[in-house]
Amino acid sequence: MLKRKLLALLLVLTIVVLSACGNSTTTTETTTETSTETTETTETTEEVSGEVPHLIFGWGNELHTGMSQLSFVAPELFENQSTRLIPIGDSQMELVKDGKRLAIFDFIVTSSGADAVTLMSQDNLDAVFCSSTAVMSGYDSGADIKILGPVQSGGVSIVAAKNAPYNTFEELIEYAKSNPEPIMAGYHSPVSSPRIVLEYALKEADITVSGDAADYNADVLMSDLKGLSNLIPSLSSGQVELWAGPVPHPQNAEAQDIGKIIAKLDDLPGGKWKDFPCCTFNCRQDLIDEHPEVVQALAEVATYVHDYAQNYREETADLLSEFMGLDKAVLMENDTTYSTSVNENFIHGMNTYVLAMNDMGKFTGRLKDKTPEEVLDLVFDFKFFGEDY
Amino acid sequence: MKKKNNVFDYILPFVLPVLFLIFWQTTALRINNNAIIPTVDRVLENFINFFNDIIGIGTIPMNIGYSLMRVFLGYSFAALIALPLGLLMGYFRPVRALFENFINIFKPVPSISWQPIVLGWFGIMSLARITNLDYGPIFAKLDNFKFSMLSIIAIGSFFPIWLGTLDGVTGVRRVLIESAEVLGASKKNIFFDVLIPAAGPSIMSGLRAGLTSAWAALVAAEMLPGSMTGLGYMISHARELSRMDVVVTGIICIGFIGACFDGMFRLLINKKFSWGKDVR
Repeated sequence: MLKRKLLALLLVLTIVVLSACGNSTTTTETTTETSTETTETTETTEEVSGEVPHLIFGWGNELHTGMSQLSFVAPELFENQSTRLIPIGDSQMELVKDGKRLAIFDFIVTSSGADAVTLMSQDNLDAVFCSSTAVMSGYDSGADIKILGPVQSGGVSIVAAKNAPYNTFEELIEYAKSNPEPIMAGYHSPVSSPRIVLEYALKEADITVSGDAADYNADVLMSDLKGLSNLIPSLSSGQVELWAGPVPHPQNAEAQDIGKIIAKLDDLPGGKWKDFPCCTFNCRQDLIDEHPEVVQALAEVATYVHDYAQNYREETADLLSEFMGLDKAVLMENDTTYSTSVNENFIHGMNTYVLAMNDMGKFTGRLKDKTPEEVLDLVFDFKFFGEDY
Repeated sequence: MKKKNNVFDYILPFVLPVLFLIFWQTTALRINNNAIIPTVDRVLENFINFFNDIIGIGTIPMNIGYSLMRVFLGYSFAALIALPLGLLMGYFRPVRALFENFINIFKPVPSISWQPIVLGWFGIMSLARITNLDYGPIFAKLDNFKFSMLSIIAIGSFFPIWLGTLDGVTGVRRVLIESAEVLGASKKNIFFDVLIPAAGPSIMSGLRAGLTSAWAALVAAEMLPGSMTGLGYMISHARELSRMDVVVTGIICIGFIGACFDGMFRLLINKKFSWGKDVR
């Protein structure tokens, strides 16, 4: 009997060890095959323009981060630029500078800043346009990612349900304080700038905000709506009666007669959120280390694409309406300012976010209790946009 | 003669889990990225701080409690419909003819597919809102049990229970029923004293599978937009915060509780319905 049990134990251990070794062998063999394929592919690429990294680039389908879609839908707009993103497939493009291919990108649509940062943390995304606060949160959690520069400011509105008994932010505050029930609010991403702005603005107005459903004494309960696509349905179904979101979602809520904009950033008390920066161009540290020329070229593309979006609003709305699934008229309500200039307004905005997020206890790791200057040193790298702060 | 317990009887069940933990920790340390795979100690820390707030959504026991309650409510509702329906369909051919093909159309559809539909049907309707309670602590707690979530769980558990019951009743040996008829038993006696006990093992298997499905459907239910509590919500929210250690913590809780449920059923079946194995 003892021999049988020893044999059984030995058998189990052998199976486990063989499985592990077997996988390694299989992986090695597969890697060898892949290496051979890669060598063949590389040889072909080298015929064109040397070794070229194959990377993943992302942006959202809203008006804060989706401007690079212009390179996809109308590449001819930028054909005179020396550095270009040229589509080579439905979701693939090449980055070309002075006729030389620098990189190939697979493009993905991200659903939120949190989604983008999680993908970057998992090495599944190399560069992305997304919310700056999401990137700061990601860095705080241990991700090696950097904010390279701004792409826009403004364009965030607070939306209430159509039949909500308040029409301005001040009326919302009064109502929240006097209502016996908490107001159900939502956010599309737990670490995105609109959520941070809404929560901080409420807290500055002495409103208690909580994400804990058991906290029935809170004035406002905030729940995760899990993505921009759920903003409008959450209002129409009555799950929440309030959220802050990026353009064009607030405008779309009004257009569909489901919600009403009760405040834009400029309307919030104190004036500190006027033309406030939100989304930035971000990438992984190892991309900066290994391919700085690619990052530099992307920064150049980001600059002229956003310049176009700033100066040709109607054309931009027309070109992006199909991608965003919205009427041009809704997109024309866009109140975002597009700019990649690392200016005082941007720095002030980032500093405010750092102070707000520390104040709200959002930083629990590497950025906990850090000053804005320290965060600027750790998380930001402006050299690709020609600024030195 | 009673078998003497050997030391290996105690060691063997732990061999694989220990090897798995070693493999996990080694891999996590090598990858060194919490967003991909957290270390064992990081996950353990969440269990050590079991009664502390986790990622701003309350404590783990609180979220487990909400999940358990949702499963209990959804599963009970499913059993209330599936058991009598399965019994009637098994015993009365016309009832079976009426329902069987219709139900089989929906059987292969995963419960998660029903998310958009139940959200549209039920919206924010919950136990709190249907009872018209005034807002307070009880309302706040009951409002967490939204009908949309409960229906996803109920749909998930309905089919295994129904099928186990139907198979159990149709699988009762004809000779048992005929013997009872010969001995003068009424239809009511046959139904309650012969059919249901004979179908018992299969019904219990169906209930066991139904509970497993309910627990699996729970995660899909709690990922519905607007959900604020539960293990499923904890997992999806943690993923957005790149807190894979919390995701793994949630998975372990779900697995452990699911295994406990299954163990309870196994004990019950072995104790009360062990004869079912011999009959087959």
